[in-house]
Amino acid sequence: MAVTQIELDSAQVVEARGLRKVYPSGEGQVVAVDGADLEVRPGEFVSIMGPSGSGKSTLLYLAGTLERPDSGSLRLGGRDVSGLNPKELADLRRRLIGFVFQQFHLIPTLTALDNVMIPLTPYMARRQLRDRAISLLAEVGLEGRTHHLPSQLSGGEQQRVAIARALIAEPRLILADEPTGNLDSASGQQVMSILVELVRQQGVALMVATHDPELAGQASKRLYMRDGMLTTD
Amino acid sequence: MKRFKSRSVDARKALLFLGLLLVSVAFGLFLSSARTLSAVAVADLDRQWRTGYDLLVLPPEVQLPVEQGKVPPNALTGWSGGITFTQWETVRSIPDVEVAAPAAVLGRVFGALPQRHMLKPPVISEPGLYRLTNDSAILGSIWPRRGTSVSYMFIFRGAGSVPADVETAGKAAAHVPGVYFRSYPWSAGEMVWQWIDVLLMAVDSGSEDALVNLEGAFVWGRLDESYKSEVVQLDRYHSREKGQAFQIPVVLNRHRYTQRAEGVLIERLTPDGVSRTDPLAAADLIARRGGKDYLNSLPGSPVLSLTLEPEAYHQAYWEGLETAVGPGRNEVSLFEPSGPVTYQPGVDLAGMKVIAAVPVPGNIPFLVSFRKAPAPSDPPKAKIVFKLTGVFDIEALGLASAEGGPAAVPVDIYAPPSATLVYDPSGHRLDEPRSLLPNGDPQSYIQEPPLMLTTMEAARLIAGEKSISSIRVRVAGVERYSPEAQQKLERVAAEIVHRTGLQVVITAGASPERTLVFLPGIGSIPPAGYVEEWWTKAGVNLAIREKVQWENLAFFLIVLVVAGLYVGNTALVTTLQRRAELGLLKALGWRDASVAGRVLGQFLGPALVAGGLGVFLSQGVAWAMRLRLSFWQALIVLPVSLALALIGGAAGLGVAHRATPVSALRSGDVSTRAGRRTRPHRSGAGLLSLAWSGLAGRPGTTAVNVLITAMATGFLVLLVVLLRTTRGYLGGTLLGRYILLHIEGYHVAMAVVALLVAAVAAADSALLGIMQRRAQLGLLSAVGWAPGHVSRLVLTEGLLLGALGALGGLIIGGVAAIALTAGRAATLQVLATGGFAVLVPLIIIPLSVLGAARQAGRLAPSHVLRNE
Repeated sequence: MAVTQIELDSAQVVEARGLRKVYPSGEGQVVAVDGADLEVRPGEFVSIMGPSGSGKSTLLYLAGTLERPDSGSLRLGGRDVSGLNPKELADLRRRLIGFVFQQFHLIPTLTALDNVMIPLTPYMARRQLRDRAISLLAEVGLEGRTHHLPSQLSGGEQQRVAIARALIAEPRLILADEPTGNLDSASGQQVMSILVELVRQQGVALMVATHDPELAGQASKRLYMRDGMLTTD
Repeated sequence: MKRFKSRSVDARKALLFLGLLLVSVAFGLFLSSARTLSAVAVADLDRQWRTGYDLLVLPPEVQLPVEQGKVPPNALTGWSGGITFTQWETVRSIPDVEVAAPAAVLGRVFGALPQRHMLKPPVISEPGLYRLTNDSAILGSIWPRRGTSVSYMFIFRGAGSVPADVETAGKAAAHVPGVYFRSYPWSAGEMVWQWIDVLLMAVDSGSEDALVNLEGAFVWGRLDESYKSEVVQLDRYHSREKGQAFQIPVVLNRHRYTQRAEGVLIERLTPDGVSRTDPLAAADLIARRGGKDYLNSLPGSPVLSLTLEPEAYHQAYWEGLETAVGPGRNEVSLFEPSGPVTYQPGVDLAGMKVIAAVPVPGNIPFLVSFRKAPAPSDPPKAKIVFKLTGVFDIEALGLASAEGGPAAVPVDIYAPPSATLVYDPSGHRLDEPRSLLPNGDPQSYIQEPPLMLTTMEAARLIAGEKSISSIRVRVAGVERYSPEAQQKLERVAAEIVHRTGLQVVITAGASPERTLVFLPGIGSIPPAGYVEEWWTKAGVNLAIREKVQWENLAFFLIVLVVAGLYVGNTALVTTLQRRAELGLLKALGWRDASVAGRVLGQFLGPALVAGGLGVFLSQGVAWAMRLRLSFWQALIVLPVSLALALIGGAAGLGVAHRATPVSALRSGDVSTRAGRRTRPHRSGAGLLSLAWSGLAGRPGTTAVNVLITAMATGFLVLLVVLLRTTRGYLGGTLLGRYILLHIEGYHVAMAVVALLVAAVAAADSALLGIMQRRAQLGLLSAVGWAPGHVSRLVLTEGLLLGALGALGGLIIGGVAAIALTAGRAATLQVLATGGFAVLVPLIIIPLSVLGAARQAGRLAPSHVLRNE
C-alpha cells in the first residue's frame, strides 16, 4: 500500500454535520441533500431508503468524497476533508473507502482479477496485489472465474467482482449504491449476504442506499431520505 | 456531465475547424509555391536549357555503346581527327548555324624545360664531392607520383685538373655510374631536368571568341590568325638536327591543373682517403668501395636545400614553358596524342549502375594506363617551332565547371574533367571523398586540358585535311526553350547529318549526370576504386520539366490524403455519436434528405469559415515566404475546403441513412456508447496495457490516426534522408538537384502541415477516447486513482499513437527514400538519418493530447458514474 499523507483515527468512520448539496436545474435549483447529519462507526451497517431522486446517491457520493458539499462539514476517519485537494481526496478514497455501484462499473476489457486489482495498480507491486485479489475473489465465491471478462459473467458474479474490488485496499467504509438494483432477487440476496458477512467479519462500516425494505431491514441503523432531508426510523 | 460532454464536443468541433484551416492554408501555400516554383523552375530551365553550345558534331561511330546519348567529360581530348575541313565548311554554310567551332587535337608537345626557370640552385665552385638529391611529386592524382633521383659531382681544383676525356666523355662515370667529375664550377641546376609534356589543340579563334569569349581571357596577346604557319628548315634555327619543322603560332593556357612539388638537397661528402687531386684514383677507389652504393651510405653535410611548393612550381613551370616556346628557341617534338579511354558496363554498386574503364598496356610502372600514348622513345610525329603570340587563363573565361551549374556541358577544352574518388576498390564509401587531379602523364585517366592552342591553319599544315575531331555548333535565333526552338535545333542537326554524314549530339537541354566509374588495377598495381564523374546527358531538361510538376503534385497529395483521412474519420465518428439524435429526428418525422442536410451542415459551416479564413491566411503566409499568390488565386482555397468537408460528410451520410428510430434510440451499455459494439478483447491492468486497450477500443479511429501520423512522418523522413544522403536532389542530375534545393523549404513546410494535421487528429482521437471511456476514467478516479495517474493514462495513449505512427513513418519514408534514390540511400543511412525525424511524432503527438489528458484528470467521478 502506498504511504498516504493523511492521518486517520478510529473513533468515527463518517461524521457529517449539516451537509447540503444543491444542483442547478434549468432556471432553478434542486436541493439534493439538505442539512444532513450523519455518524457511522466502524462495523456499523447503515441503510438509507427513499424514493428515486430523494438524494440517497448524492449523500453516498458526498460521504465518499466523489462530490463536494456546498455547505456543512464532513470528517472521514476523524479527518476534516474540506481542505483536501483532488489528489489528497483520491488518496483518502483509495485508503478508506470502497464503492459498489448498481451498474457494477467493471472495465469490460479487464478480467475479473484485473478489475479487482485496478484501484491499486499504480501504487503496489503486481505480484503482491495479485495474491490479495485472488484471495478476495475466492472469498466472494469466484475462484474459478478469475480470468473471465465481465461479459462472460452473470450480473450477480459481476457485482461480486465489484465487491472484491471495493475490498482490495482494505477500506474502513463501503458505500453501496443500490447494489442489488440490477440483480434478480436470488443474486441480490447472495450479494447482500456476502456484503453483510464480510462487513461483520472484517469490522468494516457499510452504507447502503436501497429501495429494498428487506435489505434495509438487516441494517443496524436505518435512515430515510425524502426531498433531501435525512431522517431516522 | 453535460458540461464535460458539451465541452468535449466543442473542442472536437474546434479541432475539426483547425484541421480544415490548416489544410486551407497548406493548399494556398502549395498553390503559391507551385506557381512561384513553376515560374522559377521554368525560367531556370528555359535559361539553362541553352548550354554553352547547342550541337556537338563528332566523327561517325566515335562513341562507345555505353556513351550513347552521353558525353564523358574527358572525351574531347581523346579524339583525334576524323572530320575534314570541307565538312567544317559545310556545317558553317548551313542556314541558322551561327557558330561552328572546330577543335583539332594535334598531339603532345614533348621537350626539356630550361632548368634555370625552375629550381635555381647556385653555382658551386668550392672543390669537393657533392651529392644532389632531387625529389619530385605530383599530388592529388589517382596514383600519386613521386620520384627521387640522386647524383654526385666531384669538383677538382682549377682548369685541367680533370682530364678532358673524363670531364667531357664521362669516363669516370663509366667507372662509377652517376658520379661526375669536373674541373670547373658546377651549376647544380643543370642536373635537375624538367620536361614539357602538354597537349596541343587547334581552334578557330573567331569561333572561340563568339562561343566562349576567348579573347577576353588573354593575359597578353591573342591567337594570331594572321600569322602564317610555314615549313622551315631546322638549321635556320641552329638546331643540332637537320630536316623540316612546322613553325606555327601558339598561345599558352597558364591555368594550373596539377599539384606538382619539387625539392633539391645538395650535401657535401667527405670520404676517407679519397684523393682530391687525382680524379682517376678517386674514381677507382670509390668504385672499389662499392661505387654509388658506397656514396649513398655516406653521411653528408647540407650545403643547400630548395623546395618549390605547387603554387611556386606552377609559376616557375609556366615561365619556363613561355620561354621554351618563345622567340629564338629550338624545335620541340610533337608526338601523337593519347587515345580515348575505353569504357564497358561494370558491376552495379549499391544499386547504382557502374561503368568500368578498361586499362591498356602501358610503360609507366607505377600507374595504370587507360590511354594508348606514344613513349618518348617513339619517333615524333613532327618537329615544331613555335611563335608565341599570347597567354590566357581560363579562369577569366568564367566557364562553368562540371559542378558549376546546370548549364555546364563540360568538354575538356577549357575545364579539366572532374572526378571524385568516392568508394574504395571493395565498394566501401570513403569517409572523405577525394577530388582527383591530373598527374601530367599522357597515359593516365585524367588529362590536363590543352595548355597550347594553335590555329586551324596550323592544324591543316601539320595533320592534314582530316584533323578536326569535333565541332561545337551554336544555332542562330535560339534563345530560350520553346517547342519551335527545339524543332529548329533538330532540323539543323538533321541537316548536318544529311550533308556531312557526321554524328550530332543535341546538347541544348542536356545536363551533367552523376556517373560512377570503376578504375581497375593492372598487374601488381591495385585498383583505384570508384570515381564519381559528371557525364553530359542529352535531353534531360525536358524530362525534368515534367518531373518537377509530378513531384510537387505527389507531395501535396500526401498532405491532402492526410487531411482527408482526418476530416473523413472525424465526420464519421461525429455522426456515429449523433446517431441517437438522428434516430429521434426520424422518429419525429424528419425525412432522410433533411437528416442528411443536417449532417452535412455541421461540416460545411466550419469548412466555409475555415476556407474563407484560409484565403487570407494563405496570402499572408505566401507574402511572408516571399511567394506569389493573388487574392483571386487564393480564392480557390475556399472550394477546396468545402470539397474536403463534403467528402468527409459523405462518410457520415451512410451512418445517418442507416440510423432507424428504434435502433438509434435504444440505450446501450458502455461499449455501445459510440454507436458501435466493439469486439470484446482482453487487456492487462497496467498503464500501458490499459492505454493500448483504450486505442483498441476505437480501432477505426486509431488506425486512421496511425496512418495519418505515419504518412506525415514518412514524408518528413523522406525529406530528411534525401537532404542528408543525396543533398536534396531526386532527379539524378545537377539540374534536378538545383531545382529541389530551391524548393526544399517549401517541402518541409508541407511536411510540417501534415504533422500538424496528425497532431490535431491525435488530440481529437484523445478527446473521443475520453468521451467514449468517461465511465472507465470516472471509475478509476472514484476508486482512488490520483488525477495525475488518470492523465498519464491518456498521455500513454498519445505516446503509443506517436510510436506506432513513427514506426510506420520510418518504414514508409525509408522505403520511399530507398526507391526514389535508386538505392543511393542505404538502409542503415535511412535508419540513421530518418531516426531523427521519427522523434518529431514521438514528441508532438503526446504533446497534442496534453489538453485532453488534463481534462481526463479533472473528470468528476460522481457525474460520470451517475450518468452511465
